[in-house]
Amino acid sequence: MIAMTYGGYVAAGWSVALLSIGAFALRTLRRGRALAERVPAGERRWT
Amino acid sequence: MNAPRGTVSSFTRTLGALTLLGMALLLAFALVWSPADVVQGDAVRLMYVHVPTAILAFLACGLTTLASAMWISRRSEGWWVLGGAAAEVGLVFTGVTLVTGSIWGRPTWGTYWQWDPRITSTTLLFILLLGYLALRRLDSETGDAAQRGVRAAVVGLLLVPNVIIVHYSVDWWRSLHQTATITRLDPTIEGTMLFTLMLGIVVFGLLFTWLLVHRFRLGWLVERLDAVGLDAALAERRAEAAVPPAEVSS
Repeated sequence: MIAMTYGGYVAAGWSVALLSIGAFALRTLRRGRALAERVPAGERRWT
Repeated sequence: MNAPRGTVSSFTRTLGALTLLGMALLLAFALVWSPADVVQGDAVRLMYVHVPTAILAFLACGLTTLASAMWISRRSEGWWVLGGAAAEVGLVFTGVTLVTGSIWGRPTWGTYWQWDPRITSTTLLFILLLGYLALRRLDSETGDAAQRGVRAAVVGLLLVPNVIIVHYSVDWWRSLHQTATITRLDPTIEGTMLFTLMLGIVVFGLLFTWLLVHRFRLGWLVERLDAVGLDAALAERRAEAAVPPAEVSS
């Protein structure tokens, strides 16, 4: 990592943001995959 | 028949790839190529995540309010699903805005938290979003889905007025936050910093869109599943009612 002032704060802020949004994205994708198996194909208009 | 791919489509794949590329570029600009601030030092690099997520949280609130108003007037499934999807994505972005703001506040203001007008009104926005999502799930005394929907929609309508309060809070009250930086005719930042901030808004905007599309489709699947379950239950009841009493007793 490049030496920077307040590097810990910068790393913490970016990590929290990307990890939180990433976790939400992963949860949404997984739930979608699980539910799609139980819904008739005709109801999934985007496939 | 193709195996279910969940909420994924060729559109979301393309959008996801663009978002990933954009995010890599944004990280390079935000953490390496853009200069440190004369006053804040490198802490300014938190601006490139805090400000874009805040703007998109406000957009999510706008969409939730619009969907709530449209649901009240039309009662269509699409608006209902959009309201839930926008609120959930908005809740994540508002949460990220609060946390990144708090982390940014420590090196710049010397504190993680202050009852500052903008921080307080943004926290209220977070609570309103939580309340909206809770009311969508909460059954009414009569089990009436429309009553539940109206209650949630009324809270959804309060989001945009609160966003206006968040935006103008720095002008209306004394605040630790500075007044408008990029929405004025002569922005107070320029050069690589301004470009990086704009890039952040675009990239997080792509990410927001990708999340919203997936979350909307997930909501759609939930509604379809409920409908399929209801149809099956009705068919079962009808079949039971069609059986003669003699057969039932034997």
